[in-house]
Amino acid sequence: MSIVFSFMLGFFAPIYGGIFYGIDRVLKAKMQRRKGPPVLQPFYDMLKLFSKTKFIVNAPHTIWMIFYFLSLWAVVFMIFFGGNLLYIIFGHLLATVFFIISGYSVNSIFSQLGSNRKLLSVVAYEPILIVNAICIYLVFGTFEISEILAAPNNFNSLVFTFLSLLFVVPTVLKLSPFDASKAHQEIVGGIEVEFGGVFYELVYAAKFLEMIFVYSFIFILASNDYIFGTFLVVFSFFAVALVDNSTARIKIDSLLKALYMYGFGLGIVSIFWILLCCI
Amino acid sequence: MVHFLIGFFDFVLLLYFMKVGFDFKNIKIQILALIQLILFAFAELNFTHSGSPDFIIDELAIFMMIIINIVGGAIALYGIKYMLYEDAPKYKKDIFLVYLWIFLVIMNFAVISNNLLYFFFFFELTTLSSFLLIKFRNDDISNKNAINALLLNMIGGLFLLIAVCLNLFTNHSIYINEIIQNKDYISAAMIFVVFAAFIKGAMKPFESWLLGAMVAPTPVSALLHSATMVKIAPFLVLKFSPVFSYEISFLITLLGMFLFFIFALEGLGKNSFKEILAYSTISLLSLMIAVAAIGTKESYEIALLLIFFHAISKAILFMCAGILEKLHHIKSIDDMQGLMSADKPLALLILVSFATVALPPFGLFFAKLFFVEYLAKLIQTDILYIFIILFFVVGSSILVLLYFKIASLLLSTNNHQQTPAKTPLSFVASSYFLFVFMILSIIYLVTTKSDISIFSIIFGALFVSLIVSLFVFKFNNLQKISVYACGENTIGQIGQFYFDFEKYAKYFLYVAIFLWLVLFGVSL
Amino acid sequence: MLHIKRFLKKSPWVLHYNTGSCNGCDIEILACLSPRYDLERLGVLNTGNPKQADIFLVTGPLTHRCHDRLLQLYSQIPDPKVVVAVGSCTCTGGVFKDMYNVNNGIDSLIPVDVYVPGCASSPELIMDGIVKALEILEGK
Ligand code: SF4
Repeated sequence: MSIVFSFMLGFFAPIYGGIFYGIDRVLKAKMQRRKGPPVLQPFYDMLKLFSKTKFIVNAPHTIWMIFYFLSLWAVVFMIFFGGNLLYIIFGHLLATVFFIISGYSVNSIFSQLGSNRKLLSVVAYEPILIVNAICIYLVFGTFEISEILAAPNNFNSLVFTFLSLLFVVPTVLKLSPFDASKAHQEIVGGIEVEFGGVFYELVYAAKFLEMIFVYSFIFILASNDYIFGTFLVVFSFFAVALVDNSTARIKIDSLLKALYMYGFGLGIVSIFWILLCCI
Repeated sequence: MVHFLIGFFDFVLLLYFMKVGFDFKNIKIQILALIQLILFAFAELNFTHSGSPDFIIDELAIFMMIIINIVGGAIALYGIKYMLYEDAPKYKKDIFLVYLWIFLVIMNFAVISNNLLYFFFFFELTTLSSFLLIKFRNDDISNKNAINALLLNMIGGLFLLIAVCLNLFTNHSIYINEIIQNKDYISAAMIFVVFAAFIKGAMKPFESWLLGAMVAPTPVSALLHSATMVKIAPFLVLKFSPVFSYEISFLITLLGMFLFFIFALEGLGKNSFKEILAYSTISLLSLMIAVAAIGTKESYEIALLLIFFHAISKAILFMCAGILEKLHHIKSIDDMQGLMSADKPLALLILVSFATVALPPFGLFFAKLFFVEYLAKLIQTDILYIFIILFFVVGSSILVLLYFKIASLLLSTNNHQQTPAKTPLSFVASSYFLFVFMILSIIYLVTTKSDISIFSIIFGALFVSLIVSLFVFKFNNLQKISVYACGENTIGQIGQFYFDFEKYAKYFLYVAIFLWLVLFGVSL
Repeated sequence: MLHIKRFLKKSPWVLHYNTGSCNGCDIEILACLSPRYDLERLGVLNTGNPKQADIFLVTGPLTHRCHDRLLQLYSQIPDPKVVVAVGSCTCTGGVFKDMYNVNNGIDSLIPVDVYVPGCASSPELIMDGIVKALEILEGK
């Protein structure tokens, strides 16, 4: 991949990420036997949000959020430039902490609750991501995405990693049943509640970036077999959408338990699987 | 001559401990002092000079001295200002400051001594000075905690002395450089040195002395937690780790990692700011010991990074805690509400210091990053390290939770309006100095390791521009709007959640003791 | 120059507020979102948050207690915005007209752009109302 191409991919990520989001919404509507919005709906939303008046609650609240978006964008750039997996995970952690602090810096109950829950869900999924990164290292001998993508396909050893990542995806994307940190009907979107207009657009676009972040983890599991990688992503896309549609939200403490028990557990199983059965 | 002086003063010191034991009617201290006296006499009688020097200034010692003198010096300077706010007679304040400096001098000697007997002397002197410093306020609780600290640290001293006597008894050298040259020689004596380190490093079940130290004026906590005392623990382990056998090093790592996780967990239930900081210290301290015990070249470097950046971050945080206590009269994190509007620079400093402990692109984070990379290599050859990984990754995330749940209270704006106060520059000057020092060292670190450079430049730039924009942009041209509260005008009170792991504390303790015993058994 | 105002019409987000209705119209509004009528195909999203809403769907005759809240919510919706009064009681007071605790419709308090009659108004009517509101929104 040439540098220019990677740069373009990274630079326009908040734009074309919208298409995935649009597809996601249509897919969910189809699963409920609805017609659903047009695929380009996220762009309409985006343009609409640009034309609204700008309201803010207080300056720090907005600034922290803008930097959440920027760091997340930087993380996506790092992904497309084939950076180190661990740096990407921790960069994402930093971005998330910015977002959490943004939520804390207004005196709104929903925002604070959302931040608290987001913090807890970070505690739940962060270890899983690191353990899975270690699994990937064990198989390919490197943390660099560019090298992983060039290595021969070895998905057999990464089956359990894939399964445990399936628990992370809905948590990062705040989808049911692991959406306690967003909980639209309960705490009105959590941290997102106090943003409006252009600033909400940033939060909205950050969702696309989060999507790219977590699905790229799944994509690299297939290493140099890009077609299989795409298949994996599409499969998990379907699976996650299906689960999102068919399950109810669980409480934040059950979320912690579930992620530690299954997600983290599968991560450990994966390490054993790789070390004992595959090498 | 030097030898005679040190021996003489050691006797005096032990006799003083005896006297303290009588003063406070504490039979345990008396017994400990007595045993130490006997053992010490035995050691002195059997001691013969070998060719090795008594003091060696090697790389590790220089490294420790840099930390002790720069970080410790900054804290001692800060102490001068702090003491202006303290309610005590003038002469006592002066004595306090003198203690601080003496403490630093002792530490300098402790890290360069090569003779275990000398080391024992300085070890006991740090015990003494921490005892005196904790006792400073002289009320009931201070005395109680000071005695506790003395008692526990004397147990550490006793372990050290046992190690010395065992070495002498089996006709082995008590010079550190000779011990670590002899690779096949692993004695039970070694494990006692390690145990002494554990006690200084406040590992479970001995953590109460360091937690109790927070009743003293804040510079004491800052000094104990960051630059001095507790850093003896990883220092000792680092010194001896090359001769550890595989089992011992693995067990120490396991114990340390387990406690890293446990202490972080227990910290979640506390609400005093200093106590939370203390828990995170002992947690990270266990991590340092764990990393140091692995005993390879990589782990050595990682441990140094941890020691260095932890000292700076914790010093800044404790100095901030002192300012909060004296200027804003805040002790519990629940009272912190509204600090952001009352004193923005201070609140931001605290927040950024939290970030320096847990987040990129700061030093401690890099240490953790390298450690994950290193663990991934280790586990390929040895599957047992999976336990280390488990405790490590979970513990690190819990530390993030521990710090940033405080941010909620720090940042909340409206309720509990505090009167705006400005922190005098002389009060925060040391913190800023240390901060700049840390930034410089990070820049140095980044230039030596090329693979992290782009990453840290990106995120460093983001961080800097974030801080700048927090001060610069006010968005005055945009319309302000009230928060959404379902149309209500009332605004909710904001609290913070705690997790109480008190009911499991017993089991944690058992596991820790079990690991100590296994460690002891294996070494025999 | 791209006319971004054009897209206001394509993504109307709805805030629904009940000022003391009998719940009849609220149920009909929810029915609009169900698979049979599927308002989302027009891009409608029920946000439940004034800061991200464009269309303010109000039901109920506006009891005195709801006064301040209605105003507060209305003021938190960023411009451009339209207000749709759903149900007879919201337009005029309906069955609650001239009761001691109601204000006879919300247009005594905030400007209303579209009146949707019916007690309860049917989903088709509500959707018609929203489509009408979209045209108004475009003009604003
Ligand atoms: S219009 Fe009729 S059905 Fe609708 S809320 Fe009013 S009273 Fe109820």
